[in-house]
Amino acid sequence: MISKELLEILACPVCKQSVELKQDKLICQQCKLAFPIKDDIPVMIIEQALAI
Amino acid sequence: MNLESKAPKVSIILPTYNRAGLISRAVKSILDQTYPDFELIVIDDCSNDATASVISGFNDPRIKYIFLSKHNGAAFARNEGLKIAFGEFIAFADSDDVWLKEKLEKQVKVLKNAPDDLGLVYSAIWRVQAKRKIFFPDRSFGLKRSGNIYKNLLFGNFVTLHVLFRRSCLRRVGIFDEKLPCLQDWELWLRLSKKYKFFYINQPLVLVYKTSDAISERSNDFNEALERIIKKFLKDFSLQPKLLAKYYYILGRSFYKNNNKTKSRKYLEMALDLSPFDIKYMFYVWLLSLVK
Repeated sequence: MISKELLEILACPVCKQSVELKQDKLICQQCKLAFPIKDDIPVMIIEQALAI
Repeated sequence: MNLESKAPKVSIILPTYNRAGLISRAVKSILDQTYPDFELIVIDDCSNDATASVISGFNDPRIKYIFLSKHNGAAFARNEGLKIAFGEFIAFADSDDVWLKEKLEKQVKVLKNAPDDLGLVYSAIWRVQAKRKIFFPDRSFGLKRSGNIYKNLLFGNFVTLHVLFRRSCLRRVGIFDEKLPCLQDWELWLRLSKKYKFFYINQPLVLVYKTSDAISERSNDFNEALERIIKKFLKDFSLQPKLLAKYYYILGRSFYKNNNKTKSRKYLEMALDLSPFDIKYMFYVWLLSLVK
């Protein structure tokens, strides 16, 4: 699980808006992207994000 | 065997800020290591350039990338990396630098086979400046590089950032001091070397490129950091009065250059108190006595 503290200091690398945690993914509502989380560490790589 | 769910042996923490043009070289040198069992945690300290796209161009499952919403500096970013790192051993990388192929393999080999009281392994580096390669650390730091090196480390940071250490050490010594504007690595190694032995590999394993905006060149930050470090370790510095006098002298001269005569005078007088017959210190105290 990602800690609340970490979540608070993260932003979407595309639009720099805050991201939210939903079902083991980090979601950027603005860009409609879902970033995966691996071994409790977000992988905010644009190529690996899923469109939502 | 499902390799993806297995904890990697090493977590490499790479903070970066607006280095889109350079980071590719650094990441590639890490992915090309002969020792493969690692995770590379890239912490983007809120870059405004194409760093995110450059990292996206690498297709390697060992890369993890997080993007911070605010720019807070390398020590903060490294600490965030330390909080999420998973590996038994930790290494730091820098976006300007290039690791030679065997960097991790050689350092892991030492730490894997060493007793638990050996907490950290480091190696020499090549400092690349105007296309010249300079071997570091040179002899000016003394020759005791391995074992209990705390006392030697008070003379300056010859350990650099190019280390591999046991993550478990951090439970006893803590993480980087984010209040320091620079010299954070030196301060952490001082704390670490008080409790653990270090091991030195006398072979350069990293190419360190000196860039013109290197933080160590900002003298105000340097003064503030050195003052804080002296305060933290004053008891131990006091056991080496000549060394402490030298640091007070460095601060005195630096504050003089920055036009802070009050602080300059204070430190130069403190230096002279500790080393009353030093001509240099006498000269500067005399010089300041001429200035109102």
